[in-house]
Parts: sequence; C-alpha cells; structure tokens
Amino acid sequence: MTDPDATRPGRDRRDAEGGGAATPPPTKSAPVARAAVLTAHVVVRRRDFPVDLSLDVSPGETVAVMGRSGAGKSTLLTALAGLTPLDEGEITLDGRVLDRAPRVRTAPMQRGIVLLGQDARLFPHLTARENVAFGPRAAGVPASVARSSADEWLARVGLPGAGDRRPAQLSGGEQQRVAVARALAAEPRVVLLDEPLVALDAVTASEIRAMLRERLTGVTTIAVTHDAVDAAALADRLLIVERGRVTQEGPVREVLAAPATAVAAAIAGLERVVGVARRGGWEGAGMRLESTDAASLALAATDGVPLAAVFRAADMRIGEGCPATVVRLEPTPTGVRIVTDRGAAEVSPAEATAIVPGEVVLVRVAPERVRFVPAS
Amino acid sequence: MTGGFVPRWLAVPAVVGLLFLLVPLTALVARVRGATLWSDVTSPAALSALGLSLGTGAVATVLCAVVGIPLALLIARSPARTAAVLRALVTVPLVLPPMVGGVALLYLFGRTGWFGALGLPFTTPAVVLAQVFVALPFLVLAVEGALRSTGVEFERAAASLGASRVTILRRITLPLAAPGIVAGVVLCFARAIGEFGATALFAGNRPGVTQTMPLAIYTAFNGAGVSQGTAVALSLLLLVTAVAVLLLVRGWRPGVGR
Repeated sequence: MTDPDATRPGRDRRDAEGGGAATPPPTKSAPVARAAVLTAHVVVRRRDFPVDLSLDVSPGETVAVMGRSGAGKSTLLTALAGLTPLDEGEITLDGRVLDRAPRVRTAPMQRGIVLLGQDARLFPHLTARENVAFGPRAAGVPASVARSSADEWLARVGLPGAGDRRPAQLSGGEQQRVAVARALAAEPRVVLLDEPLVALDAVTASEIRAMLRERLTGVTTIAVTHDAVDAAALADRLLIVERGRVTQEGPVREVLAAPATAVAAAIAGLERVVGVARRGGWEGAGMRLESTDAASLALAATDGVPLAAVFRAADMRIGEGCPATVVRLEPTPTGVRIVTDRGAAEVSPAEATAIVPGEVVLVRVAPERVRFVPAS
Repeated sequence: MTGGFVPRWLAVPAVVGLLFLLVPLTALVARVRGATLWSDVTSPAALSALGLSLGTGAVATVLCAVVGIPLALLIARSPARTAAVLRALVTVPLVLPPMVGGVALLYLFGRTGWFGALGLPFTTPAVVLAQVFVALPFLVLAVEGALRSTGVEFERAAASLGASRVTILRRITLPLAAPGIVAGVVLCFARAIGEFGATALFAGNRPGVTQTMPLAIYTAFNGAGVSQGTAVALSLLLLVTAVAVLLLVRGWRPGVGR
C-alpha cells in the first residue's frame, strides 16, 4: 500500500476479458491495487421496506456506513459485491457499469470487489499461505510466485512465518489478519468491510483496527460498523442509514458532533432532545439550554425554528437548572446513567446513591457543552 | 458413557444391538473349515466371482461418482423445496427392494423394453447397471449432506476473490466435501459388491459373466454342484474385502488438518 512503483494494471485487463487471463509478472514489492471510483444507486425491495441508497466513493476514500440492525447496511454491501440483485439503480466502478437493473449484472468474481465480514471465512482445508495465495492463483499467477507474495502479505498484516498454519490453529484475531491479507492480495478495486472487528475482544479489535487503518490507506473502502470508534479510526466520511435511506452524510467527526437524527445521536453516544429556538437559546421538554457554539447560535436566532439540543450525557449536571423526572438508572463502566425525561446525565456512583426512579431532580448542561442542530 | 447425561441402563440394549451385529459374523467365521479354506477361496469359480465383483463394483462406483457428485451438487444448491423433492426421488431406490429394481431394469432394457435394442440383460454391463441403480443413492445422499452442511459461504468468499466457477469447484467445494465424498464412495462400492436382488433378475447368474460373489454364494449354498464350504469361504472373502475397504479409508484422511 506504500510502494507506488508496484502498481499493477493486471486487474484492468482481467476485468475486460471476464477473468482468467494471465497477469503480468508480479513485482517483489507490495502490490498496490489502483484505487477506484465507485458510484452506486442501490434499490432493493425487501419484505419490510425498500432499501434505496446512493453512494459515491472517491478513489482511495473510506466511507463508513452506520445505522441500526436491519437498516439496509448489509444489503448495500451484498449488492455491491454482486450477491444481491438490484431491483433498480446502477453500480459503476471507474465509469464501467457493473450492474444496471434489470439487465446488466456482473458476476461476483468479475467485479474486483472483495467483502470482509465479521467471520474471516478462511478456507479451512488450506494453510494461511494458500488462503492468501488463493486470489492471485485464481487470477493465473504461478503458484510459487503467489505463495512467496502470500508470505510477504502475512508479514505485512503482522503474522510473519504463519504461512504453514491452518485456520483452526489460528486465534480469531489471527484469522481476521489472514482474511485481510487474503482480501488485499487479490488486488481488489474496492474493499467492503462488514463489521470485521465485532467478533473480537476489545484489545484484539483495537490492534486489527490499527492494522486495517494502515493497510487500507489509499484503498477505496466501504465499512459497515456499529462502532463509532471504527468509523472515526478508519473512515473519511460517514453515512447514517435508517430504514433503507441515508439520513445524514458528511465528514465523520462532523456527523458525530452534530447528529441530525435520534439514531445518529445514539451512534455518536450523544443525548439529543427536540425543542424550538427561543430568545437565542433552545427550549423544549420544559427546559431551557444555551449554547456558546457559533453555528448553534446562528440556528437559534430565529424564534420558533425546530431545533434539537445535542450534548454528552456526562456533561449534564444534576443539582441545579431545570426540573426533570428520573425514568431509570443504568450502571455504566464509569458511573451511573440517570435517564430522565429531559435527556440522560452520567454521574459517579456516589452521586447516584440518593437518586431513585420517579424522583424530580434539577438538571443543567453548561452552554459551552451544548450544540443545536436542525430538527426535522 | 463418559460424556453427557444418558441414562446408564441404556448400555444394556446398546450392547444387545452390538452383539446382534457381531455374533452372526462370528458364527460365520467359526464355520470356516481351515483344511479346505485355501482351495475353496482359490478355486477358479471363486476367483472368477471375486474378480467380476471387484471389477463391476469398481466400474459402477466410478459411474456413480461421475453422475452422483453433480447430482448431489444440484440437490444441495437447489431451493429447499426442490431439494426435498429431489432427495425423496433419489431415496426411492434405497427403500425399494432390489428385486423390484431388477424387474424395473428388465422392463426398461428387456427385449420389449424402451431400450431393448441394446441387448443388455444377462451381460456383464447389466451387472454394472444393476449395481449403479442400487448404489447411487448412497453416494448422492452422503455427498449431498456434506455439501449442504458446508454451505455456500466459502464459495462466496472464493468468488469475491475472483475465482472462476471451475476453480471454486476444484479448490473449494470438492475439497471441503471430501470427507462426504470418501464416505459416499465407500458406501457405494460396498453396496455395489454386495448387490444381489437386482443383479439376479436383470443380469442372471452366468459364471464368469454375471455371477458375482453374492450370486456365487447363493449358488454354492443351494448346493448346485458346489459344497456349502465354498459358500462359507466366499462369504468370508466378501467380509474380508469389506473390512479391508473400510480400514483403507480409515487410514487415509483427506487433507483437512482439523
């Protein structure tokens, strides 16, 4: 991924001929797949609701897709991988039409799009080396060349010398490393990640996340995740998907800082309370909040505009401000979350001992900790 | 019973079942007359029957593999309902008395049958056809089970890596189904060399042409010119063949390291 001299045009020619053609002799250094432009308008009618998502990914860009389970994220990925047919829409890669409903459909093996899921799906009967060499060998690279290149890939993903091991002899994290090496060794134009870290423990996930961040630099990637940490670490842009539609889109940090919907707020780990603009501040649910953020003040300038106040639960203080009724208490790793009808506050266990559900408490959020976003 | 929580007294019927399978074979071996065993086994009639059985059984097994593995793939990758229907159809010869199979084959290939012009009945190819008819379901069901339990996820991964359908079949699907294929081939071969009913009706009992081991045993036992000692010796030969095939397969494991 770091050696620009190693660019190989092999994939282009192979695609044009529908696979199977010989590739030029590979170089000894790291092969770099040329990053591709992906445009997709994916419409898939499902039993519950239609998935209708549009997506443009620049060369080398990583786009994270987040949303609740069943929102259509995985449908998007399987459609891009060629495993789910489009009911409407079009998918193009570098201007070449892969799919155009209802007629044009490119088989999964001829797309140059590789899918990495939460299960590594290593071929159990092949060694790590043969797993990684599988893509190149299928493309016609001589076995010996593909194997030595596979060993280099294993070293790059942090598993030097693991070539002779079988998938069953590898830990879950090691299997994911091999899966990453296998996917990238196939020189894909686009990499699709479907929560590849979700089955791993926190420490392993963090290591693999760092490895992915390094290895996917410059590779056009679409990453579906439930974890805002993944999105922030891996992606340039974030799409929030709800019931088959994109509801918010933008640079990862901007979306996470100003979530436009309740789902986006939950993903960002923020409280989001809907109200209206009043006298330069926000009023709603019997509470008034001020903000010091310039963009927020601009939004609050017009009285009566629907606004949502956004803040971190840990920034909501109990003991002064507006009255709120406690709904329930939720222990968290660092304290206790006090869920009220005015949003949730996070306090230390000591502070929480006196608080019981049904009780009316006073809540306040410091203005410098509050942002206002448009509420629809 | 070391694992699980099965009631201990279930060991009693279990042992009864095991003895029921083993004691008759012991009785058979006990009847072997050592003095004449070697001459019985190496008699021209016995050797000819053994050769014919192994030869036709091998050809039948190859034919079963050639059509049975693709059929298993078709069933395993069909939608659930279609697969259930196909599986039921494949199972019919398995539950059918082989005699009925023989009659059916006679009506198909007999002089007045649809393919009567081929002149197959009472020839060595007829033996092979009868064996394929009764043994194919064993191979198809074993292979289909293996293919279905493996699923298509590995094939999807291979396709996503750019492998063609033929490459996926050769490097992923068949190797992953190898244990099922081996089991299917063994069952198929064992069923083929043991086949009696369909062969007797469709291929007859001509020494050297269609008289396979089971038919030779039957003939010998009925005392048509041969002694019961020959029948016992031939039975022992068939038993040894079967055990040898099983041991051979046990000793060879497909290249799966788990």
